[in-house]
Order: sequence, then C-alpha cells, then structure tokens
Amino acid sequence: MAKDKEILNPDKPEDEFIDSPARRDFMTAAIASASALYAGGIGYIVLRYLSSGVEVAQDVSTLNVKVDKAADLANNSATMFQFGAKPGLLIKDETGELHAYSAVCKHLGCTVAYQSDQKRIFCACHSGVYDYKTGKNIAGPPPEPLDVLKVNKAKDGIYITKS
Amino acid sequence: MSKVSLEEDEIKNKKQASNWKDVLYNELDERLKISEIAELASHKTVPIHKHSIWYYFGGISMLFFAVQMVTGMLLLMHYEPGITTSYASIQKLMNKVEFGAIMRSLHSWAANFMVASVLIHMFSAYFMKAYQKPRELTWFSGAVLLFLTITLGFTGYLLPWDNIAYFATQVGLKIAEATPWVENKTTESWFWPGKLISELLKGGVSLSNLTIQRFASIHYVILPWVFAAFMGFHVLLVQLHGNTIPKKIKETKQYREIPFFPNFIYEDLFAWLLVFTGLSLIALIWPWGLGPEADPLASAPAGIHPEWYFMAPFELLKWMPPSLGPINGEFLGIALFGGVSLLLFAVPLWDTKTEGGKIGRIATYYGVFCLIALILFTIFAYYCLDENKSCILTHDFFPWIVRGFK
Repeated sequence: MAKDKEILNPDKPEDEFIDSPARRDFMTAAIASASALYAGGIGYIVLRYLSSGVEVAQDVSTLNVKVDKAADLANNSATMFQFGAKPGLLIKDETGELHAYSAVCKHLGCTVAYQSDQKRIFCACHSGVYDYKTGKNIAGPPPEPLDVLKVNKAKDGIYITKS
Repeated sequence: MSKVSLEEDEIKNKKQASNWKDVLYNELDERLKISEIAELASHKTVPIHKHSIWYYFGGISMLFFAVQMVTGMLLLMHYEPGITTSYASIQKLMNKVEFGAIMRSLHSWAANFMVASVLIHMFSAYFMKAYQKPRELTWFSGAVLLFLTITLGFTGYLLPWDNIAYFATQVGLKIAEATPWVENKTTESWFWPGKLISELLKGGVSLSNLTIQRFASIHYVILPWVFAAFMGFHVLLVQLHGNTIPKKIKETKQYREIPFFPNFIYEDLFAWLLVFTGLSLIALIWPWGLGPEADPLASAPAGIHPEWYFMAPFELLKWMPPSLGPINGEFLGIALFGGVSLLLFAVPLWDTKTEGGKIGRIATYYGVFCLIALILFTIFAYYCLDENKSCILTHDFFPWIVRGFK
C-alpha cells in the first residue's frame, strides 16, 4: 500500500535514469539489431510472397508452334502468332516464301507489324524499320535485327521453332 | 539591428553541424520546422494512474488498421475479384503462393482483433467519460470509426466467395432489407430504403459478379480512405485535448504525468511489438480456413452463424416474434438494437454535466447495461447454436418469446 502511494505521488520526480555511454551504446546496438532482424524477417516473407505464383519465362528452345492461319495466307501478307509468352510474325512474301520473326522490337519492346504496301516491317512506337526478308534493322532506332524463327513445313501445316 | 545581422545571429546560434546527422537535421528543420513540432511535443504529457492501461487501446486499434492496410494491399497482389476467379485465386493464394496462407491468416485475425480492440477502446472511453466537453467530436468520430470497422469486416467477408461468406452476406443484406417502417406486402408502392440499399450493394436481386465487384471496391477502395480520414481527425482531436483523467483520480490527484515524447511513444511502440508478435503467432498456429466454394443452389450448412461481433444482434433477431401487431418482427429487432446503440453513441448529448450527479450515474449504468447485454447475448448465441442442446434460456425461461408474445 505504501508503495502504491509512492508510485502515484505526483510530486515525485521522474525515476533517475542510470545512464552511461557504454550502456547507451549497447542498448542502441541491441535495439537496432533486433529491429533489423524483425524488419528483415518481414521483408523476406513479403519478398517471397510477392515473387511466388507469378508467371515465369517459358523455355522457347523446345517450342514447336503450329500456325493454323499460315495455310490461308496470301502472298505479300502476314499473320501474328503466339510464340511462348511473346508475339511472333509470319510473313508470306510476294514469291510465296515464308519468313518468321519474333515480333518484339529490339528498340523498346513494342510489337512490330508487316506493311505490305511498303514491303517492310515497321514498329509504330518509334518508327523502327526492319527488312522483311532478313529481319535486319535498316532504319530508325532499333539497335539489332529481329530474332529470326525457323519455319518448318509439315504435312499438316506450318510449324515454327527457334532457329 | 538590421535584418542581415539578425540572420547572422541565427546562423551562429544554430547547432554546429559537425556530422551528417546534424547537417540533415538542420536542412530538414529549415523546411519542415521539425524543432517547432518537437518543442510542442516536449510539453505534451500523458497521465499515468491505475486505469491508464486503457489508453493503449486507441494506439493498438491504429496498429491493427496499419496491419490491415499492409496485408490487404499484399493480398490484392494475388486476389482476383469475380464469380469464377475469387475462390480460385484465394485457393491458389493458400496453397501455391509462398506465405500466402499466413498473409491471409494475418488479415483475417487482425480484422477480428481490430473489432475487439475498437470495442474495448470505445467502452473504456465511455466509462472514463472521455466524451464530455470538449471531447464530443472525438467521441462521435470514434463512433463512426467503429461503424466503419464493422462495415469493413462485413464487406471483406464476402470476397473469398466461400460457402460461409455467401450465406453471411445473404443474411446481412436481408437484415438491411427489413428496414421499412411497417410490414407491407405490396412493396413496390413503398419507398423501401433497406431494399434499395441491398439491391444497390448487390447490383441486382441476387449475389452475382457485380456484388463481388461492389463489395471489393467498397472494401479496399472506398472505406480505407474514409477510415483514414476519420482516424486522422480522431487522432488530431486526441492530440489537441489530451487524455481524459477519470474524475475520482483527478480529484484525489492519484496520478503523475510522463512526457508523451519519447516516454509514452516508446511504451506504445513496445505495446505494438507485443501485440503484433502475438497476432503473428496466433495467425501461424491457427491459420484462417477456407470453406467450400459458394454454391447458390446449395442450402445453408447447419449451425451457420456470423462472426462473433454480429452474434448479439443475430441472437436478438432470433428472439423476435414474427410480428408484433402491424410491426415486422425483424424490423422490431433491428430497431431495438439500433435504438439502444444510438442512445449509447449519443451519450455526449445527454450526459453533459462534467461534475457528475444523477445523469452521470445513469450514463455509467447504461454503459454497464449495454456491455453486459452485449456479452450475455453473445454467450446465448453461441450456446444456442448447438441444435442438440435445447436452448434452455429462451425456451424454458422465456417461453413467451418463443411463442411470439401470445
């Protein structure tokens, strides 16, 4: 009871804090490392949580994609197809020869298109131009040629693989 | 003294920027006036006495809100609202996503603890008479925060689209529908606010894709902002008026003051650390489950009941007769519960005398009555859930209620 009164006495000054630099440094370091551990543990969990269950890049080296639309393709025209996670571009030139490319522009990743009137592969984002027969970058900002894909003719249709 | 020499003086008086921390502090201080805020904070004190433990529950409620914000945002990184996607995405979250089950468990447990903490905070403020002048607005904004907390709980419940969520929402909206003034069979001729609200929420007459979208947008787009705004206002008022010291303790001077910063902040931080660690342990040991997927053609499973904080009104509704005269029984139950709550929340308007007296005592008794009624009804509700147990209290002691007051 006497102790209670002592604690609740409003005139009693704050408890004296036994302070020494060594003690203070130790406490600071201890609290800082405990907090770092705590935050690190939570951070690790959040990182793992966010990075799981997300789509991972598909291995395209073994991919063999059938392009159904290739059969009806007229000369000097093109069609798009899905190649793994990325779009592909299949061009039938004026001689009837087939060319397949990854349709991802080498500049900043937009999807390119075949322009039949100008006979070129064009990227509308930053006016990049590629040669439709080789995929070579010929004008505008693209730094390198488009990835060339391999066209395989089978009995039941056209198949595309990585070249 | 010229203006130039004044500025020179100021520079001389400034703390010598010897290391990068001081440099940073000075730079920020010139722009953000940190030292002025620190000066204000240094004068703020918090009373310490035998009831001061209740002061922590406001901060703890705030911690739970923060946990809900963070875990909620993280859950949204995997959750896909929609009638075909909601359940599947939660299932994937629980089974495939690393730490996904824990994240959801944290969110669900923290939601329940938040309701509990806000209720404790409310009743402690009530009994300390923290609602009296000049703190009326603090009390009213707190009442809004309690309502928002419960609404957040209700809207979040539907989102996993499991069986129990489906029926809980169905029942909840049905209760909203039962709020016309008098029972009326020809509903079209009436302005029926409950039905209108229910159908607006559902986006039609039955629970559908739109319902999930609407509940989702209310739960994680609209309400968090509204909540944060009211919480900011509430906390600002608490900072302006300080903590209430119960009358008896103030009169007998059985308290001392400690600085708000850093002493009370450190104690708050320590309380948060304890609570968060406890929450994490509970979420780990008892992971929150997921029922079978909602099936609109299936019948309600036996023993279905709402979350604990809805159990008291749930039980009260079961006690109501189908009708009392011209008044719909359900509406009567809602009106009874609503009226009692409203009187409780309106307490700053009728208990205004700070010196106490008869009305002050009535207010305290009324608070005790509400608290006991809430606890007893919740206990009855859980007791009466078991179908094999005849619900002794209602059937044996109050048979007139079961018979419908006949």
